[in-house]
Amino acid sequence: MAWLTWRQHRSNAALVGAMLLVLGVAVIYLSIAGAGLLAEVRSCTPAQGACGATQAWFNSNLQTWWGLVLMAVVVVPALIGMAFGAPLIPRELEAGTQLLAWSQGVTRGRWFLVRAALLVVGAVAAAAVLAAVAQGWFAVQRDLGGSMTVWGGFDIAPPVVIAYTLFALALGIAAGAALRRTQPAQAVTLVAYVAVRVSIAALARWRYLPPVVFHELAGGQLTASPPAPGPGDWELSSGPWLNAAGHPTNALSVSQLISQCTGNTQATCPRALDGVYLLAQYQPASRFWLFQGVEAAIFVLLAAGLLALAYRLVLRIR
Amino acid sequence: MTAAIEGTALSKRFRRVWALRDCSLQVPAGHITALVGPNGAGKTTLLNLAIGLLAPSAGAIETLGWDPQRHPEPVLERVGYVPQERPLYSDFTVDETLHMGRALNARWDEAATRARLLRRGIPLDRRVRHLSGGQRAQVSLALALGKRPELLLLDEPAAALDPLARRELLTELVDTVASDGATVVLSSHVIADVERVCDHLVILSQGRVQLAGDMDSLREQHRMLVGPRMDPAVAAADPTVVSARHSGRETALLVRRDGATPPSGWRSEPVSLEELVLAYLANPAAGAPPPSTLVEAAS
Repeated sequence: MAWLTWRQHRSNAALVGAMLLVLGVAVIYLSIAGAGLLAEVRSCTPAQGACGATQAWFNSNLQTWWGLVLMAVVVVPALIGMAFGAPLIPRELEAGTQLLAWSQGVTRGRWFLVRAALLVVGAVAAAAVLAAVAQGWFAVQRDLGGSMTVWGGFDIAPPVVIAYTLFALALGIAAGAALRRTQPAQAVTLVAYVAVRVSIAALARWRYLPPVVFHELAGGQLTASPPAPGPGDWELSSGPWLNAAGHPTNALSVSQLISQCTGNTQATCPRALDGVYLLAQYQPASRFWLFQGVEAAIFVLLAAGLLALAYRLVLRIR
Repeated sequence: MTAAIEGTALSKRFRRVWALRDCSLQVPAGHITALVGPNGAGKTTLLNLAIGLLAPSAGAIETLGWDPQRHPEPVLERVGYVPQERPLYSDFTVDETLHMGRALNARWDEAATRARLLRRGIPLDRRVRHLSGGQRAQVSLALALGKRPELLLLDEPAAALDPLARRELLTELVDTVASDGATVVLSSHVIADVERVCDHLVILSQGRVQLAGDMDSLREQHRMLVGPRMDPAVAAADPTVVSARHSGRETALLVRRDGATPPSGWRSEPVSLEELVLAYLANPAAGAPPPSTLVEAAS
């Protein structure tokens, strides 16, 4: 079974392997080239003109590679789902070879489970390489003084990258088993993968634990209690303007009054703003790995559910 | 008789069409059974049900004593199947196809399979997509025989083979049965082939078993009666009449009457298998005895 699975997927596997290799080499190149110039960048002062050019080279390269790595992290799992997951069942049905595959001495259930298991192992390996590349890039950009925060790297951290890949693979397999044709299954895989990823990132992620609330006084000052967010924390949306008594006030008039502030403290503002504050919230940096675990668990559970569904569908194909 | 395949009130429906309806039949072990019927009669459906690629909509089927749906392992391990389309992975070489057979079948006979293909002059390093139709058929058959099946299901085995390869195939099937005691079920349109190798016959028509039994007994049970011309309506009303041909002064009736003596003035002649099969195929209403009779006929 292992041989057969490999034989049927080796060309796709070579493709994904080549992509990962290119990406890995690029990151290694960047870290070597970057390390050589790092000292130069650090030693120069803004007054020197040439130094600005070096800095610009750095920044533009960091931007380019950042985009590439981020894209790979988003695209490679979807690609694995489309290239390995979606065709798993339809390719047999479209060629009529299910009559061959399912009339050999291995039951259809086992045929599916062994294949799915091998693909899962392969996908995890590919995702691990991808995550390592992403982490390598992340380390390089931090060494070079990039502006990426901890939370900014959430989507490229190893736990979620592996979970996303598993999810995309399972999604492809289930879509193929349900639709029984490769191309529609691939399209559904892509659309559903992007939709689930975007909606979980936008709607669910910040709620994994209740955010820490903090108060921002009108005029810009943060109060010491409750504690204000630090540099590594993930600041979320701001709530309503509240007066000193804690009741909502008219946001429009507050913003008009704020424009009359002359400094960054409330003392420089009109008296009407005294005690007026904005209710805001953040997720502390200390929760990063907990949130990684929660998000990874969500996608792994989704993947498990999809694989179970696919198994049932495969046994029902007649 | 032990049955290699036993169907009991077996039915299979595809959406609104019944491919098989209320079929009760027994395929005897250790024999070569021919499955004959017009296109769409349900032959392929029956074979797919026997190996479990399809599940019955109603009724039950047992293959080598096992329900292929509930106990797929013992069925899949011991049944070889050559589907009509000869499905193979077209980007595999013949060698890789054998590798697959070895990987998926515990009782695989590598040496015999290789020898069989080399004897047919099939290049093992060639990709399946570059094989001719006949060569594909040979690879497909070799794959099914390679698992040393106790039951071999062949859907239209003669199609795509040249006359020589066809004769070799049929001889090989007879040898397989003789040496291993295997059971073979083959569906075919070619009655000459059926007559040469099969010793048991099942005629399927419109999803029902029209006739089933040992070939020699069936031939004995049927006679061609030739006598003075009779009223076609009378002939048609007689349930033992399978087919009737009326010419100017004569009527020829193919009847099933289990050795009864012909009426006086009628001449009784033996029937060939071809006459018998064609008579039944031409008249789907003929035969169709109640299910109880069917089981008797098959046993």
